[in-house]
Amino acid sequence: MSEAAIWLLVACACGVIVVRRRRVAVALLAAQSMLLGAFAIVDAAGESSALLVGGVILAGKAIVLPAVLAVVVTRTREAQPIASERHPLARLTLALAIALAVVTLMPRFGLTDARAEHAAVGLMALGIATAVVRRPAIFQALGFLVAENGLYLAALSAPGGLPAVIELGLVFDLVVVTCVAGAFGTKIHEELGSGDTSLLGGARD
Amino acid sequence: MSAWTVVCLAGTAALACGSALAPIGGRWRAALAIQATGIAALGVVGGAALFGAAPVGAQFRSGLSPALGIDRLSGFFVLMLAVTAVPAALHAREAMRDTPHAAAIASLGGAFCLALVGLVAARDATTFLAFWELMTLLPATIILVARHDERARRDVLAYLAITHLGGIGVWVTMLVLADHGALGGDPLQSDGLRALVVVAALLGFGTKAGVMPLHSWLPRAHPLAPAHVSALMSGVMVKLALYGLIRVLLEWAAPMPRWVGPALLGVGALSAVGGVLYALFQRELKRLLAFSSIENVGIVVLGLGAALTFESIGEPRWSAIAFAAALLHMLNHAVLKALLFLCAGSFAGAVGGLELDRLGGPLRRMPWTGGTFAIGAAGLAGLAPLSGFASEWMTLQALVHLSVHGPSGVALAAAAATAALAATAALAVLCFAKVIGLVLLGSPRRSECARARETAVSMRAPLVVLAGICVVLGLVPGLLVPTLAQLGPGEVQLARRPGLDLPGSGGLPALALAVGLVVVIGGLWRAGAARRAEPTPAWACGQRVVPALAWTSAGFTKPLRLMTQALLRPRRQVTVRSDGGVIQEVAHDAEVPHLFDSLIYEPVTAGALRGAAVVRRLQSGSLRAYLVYLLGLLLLALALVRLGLLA
Repeated sequence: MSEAAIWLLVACACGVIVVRRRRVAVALLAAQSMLLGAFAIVDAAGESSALLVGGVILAGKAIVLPAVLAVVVTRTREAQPIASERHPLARLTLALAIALAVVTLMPRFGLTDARAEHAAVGLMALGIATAVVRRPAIFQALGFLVAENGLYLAALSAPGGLPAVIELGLVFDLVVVTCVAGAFGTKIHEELGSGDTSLLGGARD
Repeated sequence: MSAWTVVCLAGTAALACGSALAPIGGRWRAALAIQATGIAALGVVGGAALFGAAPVGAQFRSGLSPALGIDRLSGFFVLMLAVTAVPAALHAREAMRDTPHAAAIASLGGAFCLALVGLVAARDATTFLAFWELMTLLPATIILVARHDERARRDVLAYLAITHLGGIGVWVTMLVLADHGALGGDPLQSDGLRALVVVAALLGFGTKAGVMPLHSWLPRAHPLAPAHVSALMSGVMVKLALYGLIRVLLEWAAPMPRWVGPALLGVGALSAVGGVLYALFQRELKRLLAFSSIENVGIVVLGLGAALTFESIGEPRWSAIAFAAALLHMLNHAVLKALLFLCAGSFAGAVGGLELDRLGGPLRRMPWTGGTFAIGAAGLAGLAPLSGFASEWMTLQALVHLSVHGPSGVALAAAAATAALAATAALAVLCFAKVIGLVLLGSPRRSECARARETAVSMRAPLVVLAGICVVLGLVPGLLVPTLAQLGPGEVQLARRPGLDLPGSGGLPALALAVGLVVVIGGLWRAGAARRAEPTPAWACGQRVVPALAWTSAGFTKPLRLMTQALLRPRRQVTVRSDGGVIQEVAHDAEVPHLFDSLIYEPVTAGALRGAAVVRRLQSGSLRAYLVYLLGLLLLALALVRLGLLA
């Protein structure tokens, strides 16, 4: 994978942290997944089964999951911006600090391409950081999907790759998790009139 | 496959079938009979292994793949289980007729027996730990099925909490031993590791055995269970914890550091004296019996401590004698405690309660049950020539020998332990004199006691069998002791004869003592029967003799309570109600609080709850907060890896 493509993946992850509109964040995730899927298909050229798996993953992660999230966004319109959100620059700074710390401290774990390895770890850290720094419920799901894209990048860069059955299983899990997260997000919005997860603190026993 | 293996498998299958069939079609009584048959078959295999047949199944191994087998020591404990559990199961067939959820209790009781057999037959760490956990959980389940009151739930929770915290020691012990190959026979290489294993084993197995001060669960849990399960818990379950301790101290982690023997003497002395002292002040029969179990566990631990100390000072013969005394006392106590708990179950069924001050008179109305109860109580009090005396006498001889012939520090510890055992024996006599006097003798204190009827033959027969075993073990202990001595360190050979003949002690002519006792009792009986004068009521200063004038538990133990009040801090409240200057009623309430609870367990529980309240603040319910913890832990782990502190 080229250096430009890797930076594009990271930029998409950073975009999810910064942007205010949820639709844009979903579109960024779809673009990131599309890029990874395309890379998988290019890499599998000549191998019909790997090509098929790459295609399924592309369709699942770049089309189905963003579509599910887009439906959730449509059904849970926010009347006004969520007040408890921090400034975008503060969010980005915090998330990048976490990601840089993890990438610096993480020992090498055997990928042939060091840049891909760092990018994979960075995407995972940025994904988790997204779930930490963003308040709207849907961004928690987006954060996990970004982190999963980091795992997928590591799998693509691993010598021999992951077995097809595991990759397909992961996509299935992601679809289920995203559907559940979407249902919960919708319910939270129905109950509280907003997707702001900081309001859930008042629901504690 | 050997014949013994076939019998063993058949017994296990019968026990499992009996347990599985109990809830089906209301045939739980038949299922209990099948369980008894299965346990009896296993007991035969255990007896054969004990008396020299080839071991059944696998040897101990350090791997984690499941393995089962029975060697000589396991055989002894399986035999002990059979001697206790067969009468218990047969007694329960009749005793549980009107008990709610009898089928479920019968089924779980069978599973409990399977867990007990599985524990002594386990030959690897995984199987041992699995059966260890089952042995803890099954009686708790039985209690919760049998009783639904708040107190039972609270006490079961305390039982599970304490035994599981103690169980950490067992897990640490077994996993460390398995990891270092010690279960398979490789000796532990480092003294530090050996010390860790010993301390963990003492805490883990000691908690389950009920040694003081780790005993707090025992007097709560044992009295709650149905009688036959209480018999198994007090008679066998606590002994299996001592089985684990024996395996660790004498086999897997051997040779022991020199401090272990004296440490066991200290723990044993505390448990023996503390157990009997608290037993004396109990006012409910099953709770008293539970404290008596702590006392007897203490006596066994004294024997084990003496065995280890003798071994460390190079006296293998006396080490074997002390070890045999400990095993014999375990067997005696299992038989006696099963007998007393089953009798208590019969009394409870006949009169509807076991409060000592509200019983009286069953010896006349229930002569078989009362008579066997008297034999059990006398045996537990350590009266010759019953079984309890022989093992206590052997333990006392070993301690006396250690205090005379041991090095000065050891001799001092042994002398203190001897004094503790002597005090325990005296207090036990006082305790069971109180029990016999309040439970069996005197006039009935309630109408239910006056209407009590003897139980059915099928309930009496197991009691008579257990009482018979108690008498036989007391008359001819010398036939069993050489076999038990061979199980200990050094495999010493002792002469096999009916009485006990210990080196330098002059021997114990148990049979001659019994004959003399029979002659004296017969003479007294005859003299009593031949009296001419008519018996008259006791003189009560002109008052009518009513049950309120009879001795009470508090009155019987008052002299001892006054002597020990600085230590035990009894609470006493007297309420006087008077009307027009004339006293109408005096109410007296006295209680001896359990100091271990108030000084150790309650502060620890309060501290744990305070700590939990602090930790609970971390549990915000916010996903983001949990992710922050996750990231913090990840960064910390990565930093430790970078610094080389984490491999």
